[in-house]
Amino acid sequence: MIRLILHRLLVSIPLLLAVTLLTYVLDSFAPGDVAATLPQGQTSLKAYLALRHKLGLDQPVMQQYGHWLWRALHGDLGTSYFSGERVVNLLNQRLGVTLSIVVGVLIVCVSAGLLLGALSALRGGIVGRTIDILSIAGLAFPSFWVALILIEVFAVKLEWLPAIGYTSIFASPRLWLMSLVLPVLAVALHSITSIAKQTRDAMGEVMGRDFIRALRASGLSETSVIWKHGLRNAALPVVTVIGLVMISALGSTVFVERIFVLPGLGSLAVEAATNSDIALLQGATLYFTLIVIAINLAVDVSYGWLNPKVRT
Amino acid sequence: MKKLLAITAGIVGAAALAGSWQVPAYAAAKPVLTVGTAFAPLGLDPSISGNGRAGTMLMPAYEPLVRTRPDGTFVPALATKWVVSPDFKSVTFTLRANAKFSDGTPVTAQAVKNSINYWVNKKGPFSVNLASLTSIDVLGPTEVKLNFSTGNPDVLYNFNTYWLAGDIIGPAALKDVGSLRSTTDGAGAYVLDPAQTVSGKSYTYVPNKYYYDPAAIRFSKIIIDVIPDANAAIAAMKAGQVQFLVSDALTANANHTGLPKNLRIIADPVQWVGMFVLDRDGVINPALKHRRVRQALNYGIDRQLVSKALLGAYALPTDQIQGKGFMGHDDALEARYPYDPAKAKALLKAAGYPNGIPLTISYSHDTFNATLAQAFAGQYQKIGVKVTIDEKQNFGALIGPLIQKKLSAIIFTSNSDSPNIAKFQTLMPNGSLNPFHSTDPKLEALIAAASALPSDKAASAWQKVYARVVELGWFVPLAATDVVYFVSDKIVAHKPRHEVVIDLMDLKPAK
Repeated sequence: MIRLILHRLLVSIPLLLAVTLLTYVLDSFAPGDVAATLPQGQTSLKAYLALRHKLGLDQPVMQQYGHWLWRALHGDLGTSYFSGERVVNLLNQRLGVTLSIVVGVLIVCVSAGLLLGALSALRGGIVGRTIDILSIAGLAFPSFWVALILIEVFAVKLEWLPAIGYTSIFASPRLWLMSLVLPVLAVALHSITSIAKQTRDAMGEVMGRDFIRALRASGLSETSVIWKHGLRNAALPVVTVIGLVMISALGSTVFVERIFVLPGLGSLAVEAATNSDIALLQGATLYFTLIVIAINLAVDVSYGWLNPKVRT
Repeated sequence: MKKLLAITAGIVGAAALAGSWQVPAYAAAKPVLTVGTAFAPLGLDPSISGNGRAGTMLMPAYEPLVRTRPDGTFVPALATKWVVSPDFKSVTFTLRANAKFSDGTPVTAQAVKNSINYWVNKKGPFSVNLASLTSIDVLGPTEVKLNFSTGNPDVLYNFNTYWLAGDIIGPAALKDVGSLRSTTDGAGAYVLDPAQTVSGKSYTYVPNKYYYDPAAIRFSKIIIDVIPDANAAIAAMKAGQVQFLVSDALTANANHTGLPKNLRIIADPVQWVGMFVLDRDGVINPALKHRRVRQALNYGIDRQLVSKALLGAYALPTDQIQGKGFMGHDDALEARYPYDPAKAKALLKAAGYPNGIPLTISYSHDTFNATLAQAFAGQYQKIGVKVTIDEKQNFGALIGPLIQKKLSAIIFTSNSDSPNIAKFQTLMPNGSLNPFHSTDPKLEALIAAASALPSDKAASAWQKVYARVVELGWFVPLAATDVVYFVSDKIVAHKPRHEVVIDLMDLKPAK
């Protein structure tokens, strides 16, 4: 298993380099110039050119990237052009929010998706058809619209949950939990049905196999046959979908954080891109990529746990 | 699986037990004021900050030298007394003796001098207002005199909440000006708490224990949330999470029906919005150097239609740059540019452009500006003006190319404040919104004549100034627009007028 993990981590290094390089190159094509946006570059043309030079923006893109990479390898992600704060501090300040959303989505999607999928496979009928309808509905209703509906119902009408904002878990675990419910649901509703459908298909196939009949014949309880043996054998393709759902949820944080006014990495990345704050954008991209790598690694490790043949 | 289900059930159960959303207990003694705004500041340095709605984040932490009341009078803030010389070339402030910055350092005349000098030399967006400042004399520990090369009857306006020069910065921050990007060092009622602040997202202010008037600290905390999505902002107001929302006429017009009883809109037409024709010498777009072309642009916009459709009751269509009720406004000017596409085409033809002209309109990204730019483009299509819309990602990205003379026309909102201050932005050759340094001898003479008069005798002179501006077609005003605030019934707030924006320090909890 350790070899598997090391191998996956080594494979991730080119990915990190490619993503950060691509971000630098794409940003160089984007309209806007941070030196013209910053107040100190706006007093005169001379001040603007001096600021461009100071920030290294007059250098070739590859040279700029090389400097960034060299500093990043030494643990220095630079400072934000706008706030003047260290990029690492800004990212760490917001990492918890995004991770809270992603983990929340994981818990809701996996628990609801597996439960609904298994029920659908075992009972069929109305549960299966409902899942099919919800799948189509989930695709038809965009998440930002779902988010606004959730706010209107649960925050404005019922007043059960906050419409916007985030409370740190250290300030108040209760308020932290409540601030996450609607954002997590807005993202998760879209994905629960994907996991449920995959679980249903895989479970349906596994439950018809000979070894299931053998287990039942050996006198094992039905609960044990279904949840311990059936679900574990059906889990391999489901885990793949869960991994994809998590990565998709990470992307969704961009709009969820905007609508719910959550101070997470997604909204920070948007602000950095909008302001052409390349140092901050690179940092956010790096963090997002690391989270994706962590998710993929978790999926790979799960494969290994579920199917020992994969470990070698 | 069982564990997973147990965890999920535990979380759902905890959420259910938690009950409805409530204000945290720590806020029970004095209420918390939560303000929503769409504007994220680039920093918290008063010398380079935007003002008005864009300056909201400075209000709790920086006490100005004076405050302007809705009726245009001034009341003490850091200064308890002021004397403007008869020729308007100097102003002497007497500071209150017990004022202190948020680190406990006393507010002295020397501190005021250093702060104003820093503000001017930083060459921020409004430093041009004090371009004629020649020296600052410290007359005593609490007495400071500012000397100017030219007189300004409305010099005091510079030092109110709106125009920012009077937002005095403490000595500690002036030694480390980089700290002003993410911290505050003012003598205001509150101080930014960096530990509870997330830059660009949420700013939390806690009471300044050194504030000279503890009774004016009416909230245990002020939180300013940046809410870029208007729908989310309105929802947060309805849910009671935000008590005061800094908004705009477009949002008000879209949401004023069906507002719950606990919410109201406070608005007043103290601003104006329209297209600033910047390239009046035709450097980028040669057609714009012709007065007839600029006048054609004024005839070619159906102000009544566009204003009513987009802004409704929160705007008054106008073709002048000073709103009704403000000095220099002239009702007679409203008939100068009635909607007349045929006349617009004729003027274009007479100027040598029978097939119309190309026109690039730039603006800083937000829904309000984008909608107006599209409306202008649609209107101008009918007179043969082919508009290219140029959206800049934020205010900074607009101002940079503007200063570098790269923009020919912009959608912009200005205000109907004191003409003696507004001229520094819009009309004077070195105005911050006059990047090509456009001049007109007749206009300059009229401005000079109006500026020399005391405010109570200058109305007619300023009317002549603005009549000349309208004639030159330097601007295509669309409407006098309201500054708009959504206010919950938990808060008492007055309508803004001559102070242009509502100062957060004027908000009170409802009894």
